[in-house]
Amino acid sequence: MNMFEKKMGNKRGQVTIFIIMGIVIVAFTILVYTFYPKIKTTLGVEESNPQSYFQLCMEEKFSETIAKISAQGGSINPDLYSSYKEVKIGYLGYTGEYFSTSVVQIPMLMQHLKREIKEGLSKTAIECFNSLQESYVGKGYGVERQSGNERVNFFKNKIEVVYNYPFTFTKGEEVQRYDSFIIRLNNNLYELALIANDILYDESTLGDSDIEEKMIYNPNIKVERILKESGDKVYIITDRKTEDEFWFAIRSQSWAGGILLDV
Amino acid sequence: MGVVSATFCCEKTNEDAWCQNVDSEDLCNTSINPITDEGYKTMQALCGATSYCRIGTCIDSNEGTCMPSSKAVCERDGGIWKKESAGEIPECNRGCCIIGSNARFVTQVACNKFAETYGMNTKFQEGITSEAECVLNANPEDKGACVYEVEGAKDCDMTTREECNKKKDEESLTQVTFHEGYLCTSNELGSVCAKTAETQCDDAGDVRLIDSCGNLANIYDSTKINNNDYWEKITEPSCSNGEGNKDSKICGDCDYISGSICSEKGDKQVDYGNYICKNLDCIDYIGRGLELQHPNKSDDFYPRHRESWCGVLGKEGSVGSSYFKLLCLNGEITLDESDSLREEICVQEESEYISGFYHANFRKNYWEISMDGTGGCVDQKNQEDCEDKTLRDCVWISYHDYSYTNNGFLPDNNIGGVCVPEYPPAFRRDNEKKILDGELCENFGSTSVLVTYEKRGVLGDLFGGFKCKENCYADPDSDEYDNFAEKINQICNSLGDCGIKKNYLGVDGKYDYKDLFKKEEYSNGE
Repeated sequence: MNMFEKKMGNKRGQVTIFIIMGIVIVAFTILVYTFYPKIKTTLGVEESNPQSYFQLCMEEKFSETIAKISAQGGSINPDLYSSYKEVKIGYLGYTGEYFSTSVVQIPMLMQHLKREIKEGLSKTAIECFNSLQESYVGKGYGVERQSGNERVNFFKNKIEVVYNYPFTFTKGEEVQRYDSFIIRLNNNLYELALIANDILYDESTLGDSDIEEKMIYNPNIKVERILKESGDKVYIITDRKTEDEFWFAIRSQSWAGGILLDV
Repeated sequence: MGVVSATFCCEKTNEDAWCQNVDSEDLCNTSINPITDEGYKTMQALCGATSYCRIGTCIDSNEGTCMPSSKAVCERDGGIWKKESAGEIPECNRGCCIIGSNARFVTQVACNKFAETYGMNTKFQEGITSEAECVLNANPEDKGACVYEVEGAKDCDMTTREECNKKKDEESLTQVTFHEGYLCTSNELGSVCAKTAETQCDDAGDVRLIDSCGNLANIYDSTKINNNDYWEKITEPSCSNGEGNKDSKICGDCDYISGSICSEKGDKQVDYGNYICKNLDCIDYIGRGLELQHPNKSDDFYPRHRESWCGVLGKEGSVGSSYFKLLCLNGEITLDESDSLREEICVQEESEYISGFYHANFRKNYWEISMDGTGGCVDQKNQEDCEDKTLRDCVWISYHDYSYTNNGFLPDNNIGGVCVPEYPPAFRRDNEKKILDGELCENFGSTSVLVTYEKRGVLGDLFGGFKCKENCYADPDSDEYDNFAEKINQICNSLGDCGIKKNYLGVDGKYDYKDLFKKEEYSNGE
């Protein structure tokens, strides 16, 4: 082997090492981004603060629940729905009759949304509280917890769920008490639901809603209406700034076609 | 679910719909209602006549909303149900709720709720009876400069008197005073806030100058930026061109109704700052096809903000065609599609105030029943009544002496024409794609015309020669036949998805003119 070949052989070896190192770095980066929240908690970064731990633990489920509720007419599992683009879009108003306005199916939309959010998060919340407890027990803390209640609050561009589940962590002289845990998500569901409620009111009283008027009085809101062959109307309300959406269906004032009336 | 001949009221149906009129008790859910621990109710009556499903008002006392609802549904969700309509219930009276510089037409309770939700004080104005009035006539609270001393410096916020008074309770602030109508840059007040050449959008969508403390000052007017008086007091803008100052370099008095709103300037030029009254007209849509059906065909045309017009997918009345309303809003064109049964049509009219500006809307297709609830097209026996556009959407097709009766299309010597829908409706189909409605078309289709022939003479038997004697227009060999067939098809087409017709994509149907008539021969000596 001459000098050149040796050099080339060495270079090939270096290149191989660099390639392997590159692959390892890329793989590590992918792992970090994929399991970031879990890695953070495993590393104990967030565990020192139970509030942050809880927010982090709930984050994914919170986003997922709001996305589902927003796409399905405000319900996690709508009983009565219209299928559109393989999504079950819950009816807020429905009538099986022609020449009739819809009968409101969800008259208190805000309360309904709050109930659905609580229900959608309940299982994960218990799991997160259990996980929080285990984590502190593992670190030698005594944990005392009480059952409580939860409350959903809507704000402009924000949803907040307050869990009044008191926790007390003790270790020697150290006592940490938390009366409630709060999770927050940036989402304008509240304003979108206000518009949905207005449309529902119009549909149940007039059999139609002037979506142009809704957009003119609410410049940041876009309202789209899709008419299905069945006579169902699918409404999509979008916040132009945040791009949050709320979808719901109405069956109202479906005029029968081609029927001879005895007049 | 098909057409319901309602006799039973289900509190809940098997499909999980609440308070529905159905034609069979079997469609009602009779399981146990977990709220009442009793079975869901069913009664042989219309829902409006039952105690549990008659429509009243459901009041959400937390949110301050009032919604038309049945008792069963309202109480299921924990609401307060009243038998009166919302207009008859004092707590459901709506007024104008002022939230900062925004306004909403809601109840007093909802307005109070907004204070919590939006984190700011609200003000409820009674006596305003519509959303339009609320938005246009809302009087935001008096604003001014709130001057206070903090750590020896004279700071200032632009706020309301009420908010300023709250600062008096803050220990770190002293000498809190409110100066109604003043700007924080006023020399008279002597605060640390100075004028700048920067701009920002306010809540009303106008471009405003800001001071060095970040407070919004007067509406942007580049000609006055160096004028000291302009920075003294809150003043009404004087730079407006009355059309929303779209893309104006000098004026920030935007007007959403006219078609502009404050936005980042992007590649547009302004004398100062980074914001502009963005033009919301649909300029970018010229040539993209969506404007093609607009009635304004001038070269410099583009749809304007808030303008709407009608369009139709495919040829009007073709199978699968439907009406659209196209709306230009915020620089985007959105499509609002009518029902594919064409039981609604799109109508448009030019604005009385703005030349070439159109407004479109859907309305019922009055072919089946007239606007005053009297007869539809098929009931009209003369052209004048048929084409009375104040009552119905019908046209008169005169041809021979045919007319409709309840049994179909039959000869009638006294009428001489038929009244058909001007905008042909379509047929509904069930899940198996079977046509549900089509009696009118079927009746017409089952019409027969008796064409009689006679032998040509003594040689007729030998050479098979017959000549047409009566109703010869329906004889395929006659000169009139093509005209007859076309006319009949035109009538068929007007009645719905009948006759020889293309679909909305322009594709021909299964049959052509030779299939239009079925010839049956009778031999009775003629």
